[in-house]
Amino acid sequence: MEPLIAMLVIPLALGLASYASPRPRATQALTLGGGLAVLALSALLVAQGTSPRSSMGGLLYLDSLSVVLLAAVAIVYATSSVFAIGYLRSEERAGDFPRYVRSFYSLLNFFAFTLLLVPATDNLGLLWAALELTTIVSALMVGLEGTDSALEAAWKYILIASAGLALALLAVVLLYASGTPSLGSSYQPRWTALLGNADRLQPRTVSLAFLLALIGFGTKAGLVPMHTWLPDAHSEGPTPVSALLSGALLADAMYAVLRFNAIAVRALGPDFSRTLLLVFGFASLLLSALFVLRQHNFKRLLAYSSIEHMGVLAVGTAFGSPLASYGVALHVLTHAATKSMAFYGAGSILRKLKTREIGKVKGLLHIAPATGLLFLAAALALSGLPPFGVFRSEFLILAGGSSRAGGWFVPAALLIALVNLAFLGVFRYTNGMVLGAPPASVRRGEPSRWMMGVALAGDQRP
Amino acid sequence: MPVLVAAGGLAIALVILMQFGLLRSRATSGQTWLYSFESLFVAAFSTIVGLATGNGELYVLAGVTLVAKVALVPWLVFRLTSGLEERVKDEVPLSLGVPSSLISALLLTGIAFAAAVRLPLAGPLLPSSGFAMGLAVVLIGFLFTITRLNTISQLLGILTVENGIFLGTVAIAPGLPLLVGLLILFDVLMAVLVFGVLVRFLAMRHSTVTTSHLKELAG
Repeated sequence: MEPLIAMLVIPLALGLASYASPRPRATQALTLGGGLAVLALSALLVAQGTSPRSSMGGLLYLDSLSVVLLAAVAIVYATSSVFAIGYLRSEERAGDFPRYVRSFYSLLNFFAFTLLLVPATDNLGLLWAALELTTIVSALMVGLEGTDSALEAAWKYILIASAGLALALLAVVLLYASGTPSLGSSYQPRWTALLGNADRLQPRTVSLAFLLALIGFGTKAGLVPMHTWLPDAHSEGPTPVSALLSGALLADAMYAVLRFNAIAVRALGPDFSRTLLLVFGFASLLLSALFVLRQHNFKRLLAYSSIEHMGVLAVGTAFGSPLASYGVALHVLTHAATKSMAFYGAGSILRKLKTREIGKVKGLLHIAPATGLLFLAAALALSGLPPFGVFRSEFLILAGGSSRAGGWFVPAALLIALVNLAFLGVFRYTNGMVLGAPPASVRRGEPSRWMMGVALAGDQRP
Repeated sequence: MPVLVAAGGLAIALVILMQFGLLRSRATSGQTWLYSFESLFVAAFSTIVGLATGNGELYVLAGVTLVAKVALVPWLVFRLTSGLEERVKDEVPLSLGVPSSLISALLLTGIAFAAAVRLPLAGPLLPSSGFAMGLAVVLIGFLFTITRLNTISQLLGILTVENGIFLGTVAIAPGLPLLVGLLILFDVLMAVLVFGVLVRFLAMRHSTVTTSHLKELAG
């Protein structure tokens, strides 16, 4: 438990310190140290083993699934704390730089704190509150640039996510109410307790609770058709925030869906939640693949790719076999590492060429070879090509789906088809950006070594 | 006990009345007052259920609701609107007219009732009608949010959704631990502050709070 408490205290303390600190350099160094420390602590938790344990009456809780999520968040937090140094370099001469750094870093650290809190609790009320806090903090970060489109994206995001989370809160209340006949009129809404007594919960209330949880938390996870805030927020926010939103926040929201799914499966049998997950999962896969194919903005391209990967997670969860569940857990990790790396590449391009238009980026291999190679590798990895980790996790999900007796052949085949469709889109555009002849006016050279080093550090092998 | 049932029913009815009134009201000041009164009646319902069950935590929640949602949040919203021009505040643009809004709200209330009576809900005081009305407030709150083209009104719409959930919670799960209730209220306050920051920035850039210019991002 102690590593977990330290993991929560470090970003919280750094958030306060960043707000108080008058010196940008010190803030950046502290956050860098904090991010790396949290990453080391998450590795320690992985090494400690996976037996479920809780403290403080279930307010803090750890099992293997939450350790996976903590590791995913820690990877993105640590890498973004490195990347941010390079990303903010070009702003250093601006007059309001110290003020910008103050808000940026305090929000970044608070955001990391709320992201780490979500998978670290057994109390569904606290889990909901932590997810709502992630919205509140990250909406400010999305609007941080202060441009018209950034503010519009932030407004859209906080409004839609709050509406979704309101439904999720209703789901928590209904799940609680479904347990009052058997667990007593007043009890702690602990996930382990509800799971243990799932067969004594009122089935009809549980089914409504699961539906609301899937729609509510699914809004945060970017499942279609509740995804409309996601491409805007991901493309308008500062790039380190995009990486955290995509790699860590979406996974946290899916984590909440997974917890509700476990209870629903035990209380209602697997069919009810499986059907719903397949519907939302395939809707997300199909729509994101189509939008990837006709995208002009490379940050939005990555955002739609995130929707696609959340669809993969939903479908994998629906398969439900042990192998598929293992694949889902691994996919959370590989997607976090890969997508954040892709966003770092995108942010690096954005800083170098000052554009988000795919058509205006050409010949990256000549302009900035490291950035170009990195972006290409990230795009290939995201598309699920071997030898990258996403290939392995998607393969496991597919194997888990098709190995079932009676077979999930049609969904599995559909999954392959849609993933490949998205791959086509991502690959087509990145090819054009990385290869080809560069425009003559652009000077060669990498934008910043801080931005490069981190991206390569994201472990890509399974 | 019959007195408490009657009082609880009255409180619920007043909550839904305020929610319908919100659809009638065209000025942000009127909407803010209606939100404040709605929160007051939600707090009253919480107190009445507290009396019926002897659960002291419900008094605490009612008290915090009084301070936070009846007084503090409306005060913050009034402060937020104080610098804005009259035209924007007095005539919120709608994408659905008042009569159509009211008819849609009646339909939504019917749907909420139809859904709630199908659930085997238990509670000490008016569980089914309390939850049904809470659900109706949630749905009407969503309707209000999507048809009122003004950032202040949209904020208030989301806040009434939270009021509806609170009403439903007190009706069917009054034993939900105090800590959870307080966490939710804390989140509401934080959300109001952040919504407020964004409203201020949007108003600074466009000197208006209508959402008509928020349509740059698509696809």
